[in-house]
Amino acid sequence: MKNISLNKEPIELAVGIKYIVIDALYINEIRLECPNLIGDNLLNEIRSTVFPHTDTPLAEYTPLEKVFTVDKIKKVDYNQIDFEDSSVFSTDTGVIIFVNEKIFIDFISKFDFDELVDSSSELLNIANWSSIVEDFNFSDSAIIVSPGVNSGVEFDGSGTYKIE
Amino acid sequence: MDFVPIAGGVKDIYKGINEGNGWMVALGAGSIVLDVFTLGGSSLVKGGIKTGVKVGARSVASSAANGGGQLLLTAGQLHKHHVMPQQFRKWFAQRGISNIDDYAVQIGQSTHLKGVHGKGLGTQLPGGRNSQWGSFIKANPNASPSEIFHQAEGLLKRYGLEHLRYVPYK
Repeated sequence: MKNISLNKEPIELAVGIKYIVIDALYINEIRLECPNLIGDNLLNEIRSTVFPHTDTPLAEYTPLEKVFTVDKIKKVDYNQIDFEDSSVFSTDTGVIIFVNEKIFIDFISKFDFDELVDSSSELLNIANWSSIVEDFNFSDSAIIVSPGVNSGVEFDGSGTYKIE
Repeated sequence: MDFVPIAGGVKDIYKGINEGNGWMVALGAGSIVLDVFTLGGSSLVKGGIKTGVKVGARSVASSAANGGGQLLLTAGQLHKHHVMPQQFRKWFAQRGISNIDDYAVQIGQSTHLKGVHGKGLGTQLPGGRNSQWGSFIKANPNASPSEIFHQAEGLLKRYGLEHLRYVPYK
C-alpha cells in the first residue's frame, strides 16, 4: 500500500498532524515560486503570491482519526463559502495531495505533476510517486484521485470542495 | 428531440469493447454522433449568450471525428472538468464571468490527467491547459468576457473537446 486512492480506497493519515490539502497540479506552481517565498507565514504567502486569482488554492486539515475516506470530501457552492474556513479547497485536475505541513517544502522539491501522470499503462506513475514519498513516513503524504462521476461520492473531478 | 448524453455514448463504447459487443460499440459511437448534431446549441455559444456575450458559430462536424476518437481511446471513469479553471476563478469573476461552474464537461480520467493537464497525449491533446490560461491572463489582464469565451472556445477546439455537452456541476 502506498497511500494512494484511485477508486475510493481510504487513505491513512496521522491523527493530530496538520496536513496541507492541494491539487497536485498546483504544487508545480509553488515549486516554481519557491525561491521567492520567505516562509514566515508560508501558507498565506502561497495563497497571495502564487495563487492571486483564487480564494481557495489549498485547505488545511487536521484529522481526528487515522482512516480518511473519500466521502468526507464534499462539494460546496462557491457563493456560499466562508473564506475563513480553511477546510475548503479548489481543484482543476481532481487529483489532490495530503502533505504533512512539516515536510511540505521538502515534498514539493521532489514533486512534479507531469511526471506523476506520465504513464502509458497506469493512471498514475506509481514508481514516480514511490520515489517522491520514499524518504518520508508513510502517513506524511497521500494522494486521492477523484473516482469520477456516478461513483457514489461527491468528489467527481474539478470543483470546489470542503473536507468534513 | 431530447439529447443522448455524450457520456452515455462513451460508456456504451467502453462497455462494448470490454464485453466484445460490437453492437454496443456501434450504439455508443452513434450516440456520440447524435450528441454532436443535437447538442451544438448547448455549448459555450449558449453559455456565452447566457452571460450576455455572443460568440461566433462554430463547426461541430469535424469534432465528431477528432474528439470522438480521443474519447474512444480514453474512455473509463469520467471526471467533471471546468472549462475555465478554478485556479483563476477570481480573475474570471473580476472580468464579468462569475458562473464558471456552468461550464463543466465530462471527460475520461486519463484524458483529463494526461491529455488536458499533464504533458499531453499525442498531438491532439497537448496538455498544460492551466498554463495556457495563465499565459492568456498574463497577456490579456483586462480581457473582455467575449475575449475570454473566445479563448475558452479555442482551447476546447485545440483539445478536441468542443462537442461535449455541459453538465450540471453540482
